[in-house]
Amino acid sequence: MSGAGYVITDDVLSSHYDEESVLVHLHSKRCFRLNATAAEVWRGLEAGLSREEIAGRLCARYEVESDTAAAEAARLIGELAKNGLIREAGAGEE
Amino acid sequence: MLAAARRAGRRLARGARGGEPSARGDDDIGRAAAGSDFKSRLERGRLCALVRGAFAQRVEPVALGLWAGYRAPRWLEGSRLRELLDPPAEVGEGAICAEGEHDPAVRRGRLAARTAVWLLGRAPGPARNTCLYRSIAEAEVLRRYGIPAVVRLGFAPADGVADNPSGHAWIELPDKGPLDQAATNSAGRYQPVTPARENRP
Repeated sequence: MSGAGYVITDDVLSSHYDEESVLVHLHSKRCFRLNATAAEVWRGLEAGLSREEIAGRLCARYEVESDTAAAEAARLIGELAKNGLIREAGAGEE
Repeated sequence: MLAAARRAGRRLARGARGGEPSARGDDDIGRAAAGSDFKSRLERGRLCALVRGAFAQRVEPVALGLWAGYRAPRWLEGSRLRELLDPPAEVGEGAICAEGEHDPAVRRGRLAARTAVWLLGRAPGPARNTCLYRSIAEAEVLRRYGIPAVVRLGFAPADGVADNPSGHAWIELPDKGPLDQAATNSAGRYQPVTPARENRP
Protein backbone atom coordinates (compact mmCIF):
# COMPACT_ATOMS: atom_id res chain seq x y z
CA MET A 1 0.00 0.00 0.00
CA SER A 2 3.07 2.18 0.19
CA GLY A 3 2.72 5.40 -1.77
CA ALA A 4 -0.83 4.59 -2.77
CA GLY A 5 -3.53 7.21 -2.58
CA TYR A 6 -6.78 6.46 -0.80
CA VAL A 7 -10.33 7.28 -1.64
CA ILE A 8 -13.02 7.96 0.90
CA THR A 9 -16.09 5.90 0.12
CA ASP A 10 -19.37 7.57 -0.78
CA ASP A 11 -21.09 6.24 2.32
CA VAL A 12 -19.02 8.26 4.77
CA LEU A 13 -20.15 11.48 6.42
CA SER A 14 -17.79 13.48 8.58
CA SER A 15 -17.71 16.44 10.87
CA HIS A 16 -14.69 18.18 12.35
CA TYR A 17 -14.48 19.79 15.75
CA ASP A 18 -11.54 21.59 17.28
CA GLU A 19 -9.30 18.57 17.54
CA GLU A 20 -11.52 15.60 16.96
CA SER A 21 -13.69 14.29 14.16
CA VAL A 22 -16.80 12.16 13.94
CA LEU A 23 -17.40 9.82 11.03
CA VAL A 24 -20.67 8.13 10.12
CA HIS A 25 -20.74 5.11 7.86
CA LEU A 26 -24.19 5.08 6.31
CA HIS A 27 -24.10 1.49 5.12
CA SER A 28 -23.09 -0.08 8.43
CA LYS A 29 -24.84 2.65 10.49
CA ARG A 30 -21.74 2.96 12.65
CA CYS A 31 -20.26 6.13 14.13
CA PHE A 32 -16.55 6.62 14.70
CA ARG A 33 -15.08 9.22 16.96
CA LEU A 34 -11.51 10.10 16.04
CA ASN A 35 -9.02 11.53 18.49
CA ALA A 36 -6.69 14.35 17.50
CA THR A 37 -4.10 12.11 15.81
CA ALA A 38 -6.65 10.04 13.92
CA ALA A 39 -8.49 13.23 12.94
CA GLU A 40 -5.23 14.58 11.50
CA VAL A 41 -4.85 11.41 9.44
CA TRP A 42 -8.46 11.68 8.29
CA ARG A 43 -8.03 15.31 7.24
CA GLY A 44 -5.01 14.20 5.22
CA LEU A 45 -7.15 11.55 3.52
CA GLU A 46 -9.84 14.11 2.77
CA ALA A 47 -7.16 16.30 1.23
CA GLY A 48 -6.17 13.38 -1.01
CA LEU A 49 -2.70 12.89 0.49
CA SER A 50 -0.72 9.64 0.29
CA ARG A 51 0.32 7.66 3.36
CA GLU A 52 3.82 9.16 3.27
CA GLU A 53 2.49 12.68 3.06
CA ILE A 54 0.14 12.02 5.96
CA ALA A 55 3.04 10.63 8.01
CA GLY A 56 4.99 13.80 7.15
CA ARG A 57 2.14 15.90 8.51
CA LEU A 58 2.10 13.89 11.73
CA CYS A 59 5.87 14.37 12.09
CA ALA A 60 5.54 18.13 11.65
CA ARG A 61 2.64 18.47 14.05
CA TYR A 62 3.59 16.12 16.89
CA GLU A 63 7.39 16.16 16.59
CA VAL A 64 7.75 12.38 16.45
CA GLU A 65 10.23 10.18 14.60
CA SER A 66 9.33 9.59 10.98
CA ASP A 67 9.26 5.81 11.53
CA THR A 68 6.84 6.17 14.41
CA ALA A 69 4.63 8.54 12.43
CA ALA A 70 4.67 6.24 9.39
CA ALA A 71 3.77 3.21 11.51
CA GLU A 72 0.96 5.09 13.24
CA ALA A 73 -0.41 6.43 9.94
CA ALA A 74 -0.30 2.94 8.42
CA ARG A 75 -2.10 1.46 11.42
CA LEU A 76 -4.86 4.09 11.35
CA ILE A 77 -5.30 3.84 7.60
CA GLY A 78 -5.55 0.05 7.93
CA GLU A 79 -8.24 0.47 10.59
CA LEU A 80 -10.19 2.91 8.44
CA ALA A 81 -9.95 0.61 5.41
CA LYS A 82 -11.00 -2.41 7.49
CA ASN A 83 -14.15 -0.56 8.50
CA GLY A 84 -14.99 0.33 4.91
CA LEU A 85 -14.40 4.06 5.33
CA ILE A 86 -11.66 4.28 2.70
CA ARG A 87 -10.25 2.15 -0.09
CA GLU A 88 -7.16 2.29 -2.19
CA ALA A 89 -7.48 4.52 -5.22
CA GLY A 90 -8.35 2.47 -8.28
CA ALA A 91 -9.34 -0.59 -6.24
CA GLY A 92 -13.01 -1.60 -6.52
CA GLU A 93 -14.29 1.58 -8.19
CA GLU A 94 -17.93 2.11 -7.20
CA MET B 1 -106.51 19.61 -22.23
CA LEU B 2 -104.21 16.58 -22.36
CA ALA B 3 -102.62 17.75 -25.60
CA ALA B 4 -101.97 21.18 -24.10
CA ALA B 5 -100.28 19.60 -21.09
CA ARG B 6 -98.06 17.51 -23.38
CA ARG B 7 -97.05 20.62 -25.34
CA ALA B 8 -96.22 22.41 -22.12
CA GLY B 9 -94.17 19.41 -20.97
CA ARG B 10 -92.23 19.35 -24.25
CA ARG B 11 -91.50 23.05 -23.92
CA LEU B 12 -90.37 22.55 -20.36
CA ALA B 13 -88.04 19.76 -21.41
CA ARG B 14 -86.66 21.88 -24.25
CA GLY B 15 -86.03 24.72 -21.82
CA ALA B 16 -84.31 22.41 -19.38
CA ARG B 17 -81.99 21.15 -22.11
CA GLY B 18 -81.06 24.72 -22.83
CA GLY B 19 -82.99 24.86 -26.08
CA GLU B 20 -84.39 28.08 -27.48
CA PRO B 21 -87.42 29.13 -25.50
CA SER B 22 -90.52 29.74 -27.51
CA ALA B 23 -91.67 33.26 -28.15
CA ARG B 24 -94.91 32.59 -26.42
CA GLY B 25 -96.07 33.32 -22.89
CA ASP B 26 -94.83 30.05 -21.41
CA ASP B 27 -91.12 31.07 -21.72
CA ASP B 28 -91.05 31.64 -18.00
CA ILE B 29 -91.58 27.95 -17.37
CA GLY B 30 -88.58 27.02 -19.55
CA ARG B 31 -86.41 29.67 -17.93
CA ALA B 32 -87.39 28.50 -14.46
CA ALA B 33 -86.57 24.90 -15.36
CA ALA B 34 -83.19 25.87 -16.86
CA GLY B 35 -82.43 27.98 -13.79
CA SER B 36 -83.29 25.11 -11.50
CA ASP B 37 -81.02 22.76 -13.46
CA PHE B 38 -78.19 25.28 -13.38
CA LYS B 39 -78.64 25.67 -9.63
CA SER B 40 -78.52 21.94 -9.04
CA ARG B 41 -75.40 21.66 -11.19
CA LEU B 42 -73.83 24.49 -9.26
CA GLU B 43 -74.65 22.77 -5.99
CA ARG B 44 -73.25 19.49 -7.29
CA GLY B 45 -70.11 21.33 -8.40
CA ARG B 46 -69.78 22.97 -5.02
CA LEU B 47 -70.23 19.64 -3.30
CA CYS B 48 -67.59 18.04 -5.52
CA ALA B 49 -65.19 20.91 -4.84
CA LEU B 50 -65.88 20.59 -1.13
CA VAL B 51 -65.19 16.85 -1.20
CA ARG B 52 -62.05 17.34 -3.31
CA GLY B 53 -60.86 20.10 -0.99
CA ALA B 54 -61.47 18.00 2.10
CA PHE B 55 -59.65 15.10 0.51
CA ALA B 56 -56.67 17.22 -0.53
CA GLN B 57 -56.46 19.11 2.75
CA ARG B 58 -57.24 16.36 5.23
CA VAL B 59 -57.46 12.79 3.95
CA GLU B 60 -54.53 12.85 1.53
CA PRO B 61 -51.96 14.45 3.87
CA VAL B 62 -52.89 12.16 6.73
CA ALA B 63 -52.68 9.08 4.50
CA LEU B 64 -49.38 10.33 3.08
CA GLY B 65 -47.97 10.96 6.55
CA LEU B 66 -49.00 7.55 7.85
CA TRP B 67 -47.51 5.91 4.78
CA ALA B 68 -44.25 7.86 5.16
CA GLY B 69 -44.03 6.84 8.82
CA TYR B 70 -44.57 3.23 7.89
CA ARG B 71 -41.89 3.42 5.19
CA ALA B 72 -39.30 5.22 7.33
CA PRO B 73 -37.29 2.09 8.29
CA ARG B 74 -36.78 1.30 4.60
CA TRP B 75 -34.72 4.47 4.19
CA LEU B 76 -32.18 2.97 6.56
CA GLU B 77 -31.57 -0.09 4.41
CA GLY B 78 -28.10 0.02 2.89
CA SER B 79 -27.00 3.54 2.00
CA ARG B 80 -30.41 4.74 0.86
CA LEU B 81 -30.49 7.46 3.51
CA ARG B 82 -28.01 9.37 1.37
CA GLU B 83 -30.91 10.36 -0.91
CA LEU B 84 -32.49 12.30 1.92
CA LEU B 85 -29.25 13.98 2.98
CA ASP B 86 -28.82 15.75 -0.35
CA PRO B 87 -31.34 18.16 -1.87
CA PRO B 88 -33.51 16.29 -4.37
CA ALA B 89 -32.84 16.74 -8.07
CA GLU B 90 -36.56 17.05 -8.65
CA VAL B 91 -39.28 17.45 -6.10
CA GLY B 92 -42.93 16.73 -5.69
CA GLU B 93 -44.96 14.12 -7.43
CA GLY B 94 -47.98 15.72 -5.80
CA ALA B 95 -49.32 19.21 -5.89
CA ILE B 96 -46.92 21.98 -4.93
CA CYS B 97 -48.38 23.94 -2.05
CA ALA B 98 -48.65 27.67 -2.40
CA GLU B 99 -47.86 28.18 1.25
CA GLY B 100 -44.92 25.81 1.20
CA GLU B 101 -44.02 24.22 4.50
CA HIS B 102 -46.64 26.33 6.31
CA ASP B 103 -49.52 24.91 4.30
CA PRO B 104 -52.11 23.25 6.57
CA ALA B 105 -52.00 20.09 4.45
CA VAL B 106 -48.24 19.86 4.86
CA ARG B 107 -48.52 20.41 8.61
CA ARG B 108 -51.16 17.67 8.85
CA GLY B 109 -48.96 15.35 6.82
CA ARG B 110 -45.98 15.98 9.10
CA LEU B 111 -48.09 15.43 12.19
CA ALA B 112 -49.46 12.19 10.75
CA ALA B 113 -45.93 11.04 9.93
CA ARG B 114 -44.75 11.73 13.49
CA THR B 115 -47.82 9.96 14.87
CA ALA B 116 -47.19 6.94 12.66
CA VAL B 117 -43.57 6.74 13.80
CA TRP B 118 -44.67 7.06 17.42
CA LEU B 119 -47.24 4.28 17.01
CA LEU B 120 -44.94 1.99 15.04
CA GLY B 121 -42.17 2.58 17.55
CA ARG B 122 -44.37 0.96 20.17
CA ALA B 123 -45.18 -2.04 18.00
CA PRO B 124 -42.80 -4.93 17.38
CA GLY B 125 -40.82 -4.33 14.22
CA PRO B 126 -37.88 -2.38 12.85
CA ALA B 127 -39.36 1.11 13.44
CA ARG B 128 -38.25 3.12 16.44
CA ASN B 129 -39.62 6.39 17.70
CA THR B 130 -36.42 8.40 17.36
CA CYS B 131 -35.48 11.73 15.83
CA LEU B 132 -33.99 9.95 12.82
CA TYR B 133 -37.16 8.04 11.96
CA ARG B 134 -39.32 11.12 12.53
CA SER B 135 -37.07 13.26 10.33
CA ILE B 136 -37.05 10.69 7.56
CA ALA B 137 -40.85 10.38 7.56
CA GLU B 138 -41.38 14.15 7.66
CA ALA B 139 -38.83 14.77 4.92
CA GLU B 140 -40.63 12.32 2.69
CA VAL B 141 -43.94 14.11 3.27
CA LEU B 142 -42.37 17.49 2.52
CA ARG B 143 -40.79 16.24 -0.68
CA ARG B 144 -44.12 14.82 -1.82
CA TYR B 145 -45.50 18.33 -1.51
CA GLY B 146 -42.70 19.80 -3.59
CA ILE B 147 -40.61 21.10 -0.69
CA PRO B 148 -36.94 20.10 -1.06
CA ALA B 149 -36.37 19.11 2.57
CA VAL B 150 -33.16 17.40 3.61
CA VAL B 151 -32.38 15.35 6.69
CA ARG B 152 -29.43 16.57 8.74
CA LEU B 153 -27.43 14.39 11.09
CA GLY B 154 -25.37 16.11 13.73
CA PHE B 155 -23.23 15.40 16.74
CA ALA B 156 -22.64 17.39 19.87
CA PRO B 157 -18.94 17.55 20.58
CA ALA B 158 -19.33 18.75 24.14
CA ASP B 159 -21.31 15.90 25.63
CA GLY B 160 -20.12 13.12 23.37
CA VAL B 161 -18.70 10.10 25.14
CA ALA B 162 -15.67 8.49 23.54
CA ASP B 163 -17.45 5.48 22.10
CA ASN B 164 -20.92 6.92 21.84
CA PRO B 165 -21.11 10.47 20.51
CA SER B 166 -24.38 12.23 21.18
CA GLY B 167 -26.19 12.46 17.85
CA HIS B 168 -29.39 14.02 16.57
CA ALA B 169 -31.36 14.29 13.32
CA TRP B 170 -33.51 17.16 12.10
CA ILE B 171 -34.92 18.65 8.89
CA GLU B 172 -33.64 21.63 6.94
CA LEU B 173 -34.63 23.42 3.77
CA PRO B 174 -31.67 24.17 1.49
CA ASP B 175 -32.39 27.89 1.17
CA LYS B 176 -33.96 28.54 4.54
CA GLY B 177 -32.06 26.39 7.02
CA PRO B 178 -33.78 24.55 9.87
CA LEU B 179 -37.47 24.00 9.32
CA ASP B 180 -38.83 25.05 12.71
CA GLN B 181 -37.75 26.24 16.13
CA ALA B 182 -36.91 22.76 17.41
CA ALA B 183 -34.70 22.17 14.37
CA THR B 184 -33.10 25.59 14.84
CA ASN B 185 -32.22 24.69 18.41
CA SER B 186 -30.79 21.38 17.23
CA ALA B 187 -28.76 23.03 14.49
CA GLY B 188 -27.25 25.35 17.09
CA ARG B 189 -26.31 22.57 19.44
CA TYR B 190 -25.25 19.83 17.03
CA GLN B 191 -22.69 20.11 14.31
CA PRO B 192 -23.94 18.48 11.10
CA VAL B 193 -21.98 15.80 9.31
CA THR B 194 -21.45 16.22 5.59
CA PRO B 195 -20.33 13.82 2.88
CA ALA B 196 -16.62 13.32 3.55
CA ARG B 197 -15.65 13.22 -0.10
CA GLU B 198 -16.96 16.76 -0.49
CA ASN B 199 -14.81 18.05 2.36
CA ARG B 200 -11.72 18.06 0.17
CA PRO B 201 -10.23 21.55 0.34
